Amino acid sequence: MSYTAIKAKAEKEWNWLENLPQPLIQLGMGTCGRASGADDILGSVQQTLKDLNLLARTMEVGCIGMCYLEPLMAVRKPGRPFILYGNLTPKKTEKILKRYLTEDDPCAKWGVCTIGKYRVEGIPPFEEHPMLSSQVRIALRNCGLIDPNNIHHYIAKGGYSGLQRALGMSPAEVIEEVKASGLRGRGGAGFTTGLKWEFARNSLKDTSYIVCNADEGDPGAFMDRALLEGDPHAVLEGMLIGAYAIGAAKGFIYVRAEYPLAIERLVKALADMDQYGLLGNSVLGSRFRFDIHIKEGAGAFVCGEETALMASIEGRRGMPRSRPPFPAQSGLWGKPTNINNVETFSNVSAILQNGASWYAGFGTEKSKGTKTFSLAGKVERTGLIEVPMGIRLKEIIYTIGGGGPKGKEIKGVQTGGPSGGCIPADRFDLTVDYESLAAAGSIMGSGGMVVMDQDTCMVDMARYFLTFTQAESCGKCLPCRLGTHQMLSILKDICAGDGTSADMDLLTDLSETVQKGSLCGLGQTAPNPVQTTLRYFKDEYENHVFHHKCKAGVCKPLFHYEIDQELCNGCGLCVHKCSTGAISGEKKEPHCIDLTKCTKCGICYQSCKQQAVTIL
Amino acid sequence: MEQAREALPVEPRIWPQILIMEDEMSVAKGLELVLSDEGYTVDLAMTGRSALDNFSQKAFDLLIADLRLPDIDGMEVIKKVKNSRPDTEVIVVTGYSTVSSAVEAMKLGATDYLSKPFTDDELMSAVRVALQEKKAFNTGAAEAAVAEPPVPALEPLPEDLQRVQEIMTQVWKEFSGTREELIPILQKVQNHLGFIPESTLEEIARFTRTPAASVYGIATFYEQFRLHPVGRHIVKVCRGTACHVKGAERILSEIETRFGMSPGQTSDDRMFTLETVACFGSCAIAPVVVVDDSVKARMNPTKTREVMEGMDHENQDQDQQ
Repeated sequence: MSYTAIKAKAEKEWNWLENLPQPLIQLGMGTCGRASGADDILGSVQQTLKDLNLLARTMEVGCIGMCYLEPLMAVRKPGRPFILYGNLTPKKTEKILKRYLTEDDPCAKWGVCTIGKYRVEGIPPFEEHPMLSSQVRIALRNCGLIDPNNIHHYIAKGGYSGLQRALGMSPAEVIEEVKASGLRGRGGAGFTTGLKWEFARNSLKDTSYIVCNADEGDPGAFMDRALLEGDPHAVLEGMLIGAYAIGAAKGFIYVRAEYPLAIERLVKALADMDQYGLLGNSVLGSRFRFDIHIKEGAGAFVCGEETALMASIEGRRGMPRSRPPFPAQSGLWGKPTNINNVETFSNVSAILQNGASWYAGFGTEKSKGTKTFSLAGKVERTGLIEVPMGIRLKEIIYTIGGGGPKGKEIKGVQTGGPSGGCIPADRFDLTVDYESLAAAGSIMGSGGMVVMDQDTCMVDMARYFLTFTQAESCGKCLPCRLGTHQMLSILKDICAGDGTSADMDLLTDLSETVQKGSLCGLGQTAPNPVQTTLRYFKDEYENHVFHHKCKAGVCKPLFHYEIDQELCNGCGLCVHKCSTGAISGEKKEPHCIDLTKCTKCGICYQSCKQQAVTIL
Repeated sequence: MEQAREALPVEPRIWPQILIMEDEMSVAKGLELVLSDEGYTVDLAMTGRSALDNFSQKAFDLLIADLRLPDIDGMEVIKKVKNSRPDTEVIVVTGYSTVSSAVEAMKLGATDYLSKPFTDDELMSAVRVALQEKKAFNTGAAEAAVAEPPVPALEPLPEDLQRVQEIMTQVWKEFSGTREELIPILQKVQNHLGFIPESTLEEIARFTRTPAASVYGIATFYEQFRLHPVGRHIVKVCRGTACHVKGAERILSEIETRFGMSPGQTSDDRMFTLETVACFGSCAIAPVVVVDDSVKARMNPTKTREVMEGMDHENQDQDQQ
């Protein structure tokens, strides 16, 4: 089938959906949505429609990014915009449908925002919601708006027009276009994508491979999962364009086994592509031949590193090797191989669809375009966001994220997962781009952003990340294998109150050695969390070492709870919650904690409404 | 002699055992219902004598005692129980509460004194406190003992091994035997059996023309593969950064203490295997726990325990049927 024929068919279906005479109900069925109970909401929707004897269509969509409101539902009546409702329960769903569909009351107090042309009184439109107003969605352009299982939806939204355009250009022209857009690898290191492709193209002899790295191993990051679940074709189109540019006939997607839904969506997407002639011996009737295979990861963080990933695809232990030769010269089975991240490919398809200069219009001089982040941790509005490069951190955390939950003070943010660093709140003026994050000692990374507040201990955080990298170190090179082990045992000592002043110097020394001596990115970046916390939160280390105090109340040997006799109103809530019976006191009189019984579980601290429980 | 026998540690149990001594059938049944719903093992005694009989046969962690009984005075029973089994905790429940009896009960070592009527929550919180004290008593004694020996890995069940051949035949059909198929083959075997029996590793090595040592090397390198059987349900606690910041450690320690297993271990009844995972990528709804394949959002220690106990009961019901 020719592209025009496919496009006509897809647009017909989309137009039909747009002008549906019945109400349309969209449900966010990504992993986040399902985990929050979207299946129950779907059941409730179907039951309510049956009870009310109403005709309406339901449709599954991916993650729209407002994960803190999951489960979500969007309802559209003919000639009206979608109204997005969040924090649903089956009962609430029933009420909304009943009131809106039969009584025409849009339940404005529960509405999050509207999506579409018209306005509904009392509900802000999508673009004005505080979480969305400063976002620019390019990679996530269709996430949450289309049915990821329906290739027609993607095509109707302009999908595969980028591929069609690329096939009309020479591979060298495609590479030039991507270079002109200024796109840099979104996997973390930020190497210029067009340049990487050019290297692979130049070493092409008989065959080469293209790989999509969806082994999103960073704890605290979920952009790639949401993208694959919400709009798999955007990634696959980018991969096809890349394959055409470098001359690859075979591609692999390396996905984590922990992402079953993403795999399911990819399998369906590949089957649809096959049916429409987007894969196989003659892609869209051209002479370009291409096939994609899915490779499931087996749970090794280091396989996100490209040489380890290739070893894993070949059926070996996923251990990195030294470079050169770079994969572009000698990769899978000794052939030139190009590896890009999920988000990079989604950007590629957008660039070919809309042109390089359009894309280069976003971002800063050196970092073009947008970047997705998974905003998580101690922040009011958690979720998946996409912002133009060059935005300030404070805008992400306070405007989009809405600041700390329950008004707690934010202490810092970890970008780049265990390979990145903690940036303190007083440096939130920093702009988000590859260079300035690196200057602050952190990295852009794949886009994890975990916010920490006053209840997070930074020494414990460094210990946590080291525990992770130490466990995930493949053990091939010595600096990483033994260095991380040694650093971890020092950090454990400090958290247990056995640290000495020499420990801090030793940590600094070891950090440098591990950084310089390790073979791959895992070891080279593993000391980042330690170095940044030492740099920005030295007082916390000193408190642990010299004063034996953990002010955040995390390192158990270094603090205890006490009830402020002035603030306590004797409500007895803590007595009820305490599982060890450590709290006693007369009703309406200040209580006190028996430290011999207290296990420091923190339940009293969290539950006290007067904030009378203090950390000493 | 008597004392020496008593000092021996009672057999390790996951669920605390409770004896209810109460002569009013309706009250007794009500208490039983509330406590067994919480997962405790509950026995009933309608008279003081049958309560003492029960104690002579087995050790209970907690006695819930009414004071007015048809035969012996409840206070007498408590005294005898505390004499013969001093580590038993006692909670008094009575419809005729007086200050003097309360004082007497406390002197005998009762942890709580509830006057009827009381709410379920009051009862549960008293029971929890009492059992916590019991645990403190036990761990104090255990500290003197030698450190626990490592829990041996489970051995495969015979029926698992019978299925191996069937699965391997499927594998020979589906794959062509190239090296790059090694990981997918291992994944397939594990998907069917829940683990990879060591015997299959050699067969796979021959099939893919790879040294057996390499196959073993791969099976042990990747976190996903298990060489030992697992429980009926797999509970995975996410230890990603967002989950860590939001209290995943507390969930883990609740499971560890409640179900007596640490990560990588399987409960004695082969019901649950506990695992930790570096990150599930569901950070916005942290902390998450994945039970079998369903992701549970915004968990806390109590919710996790309830989910696991719910599955436990379901399975027991199925087994009975």
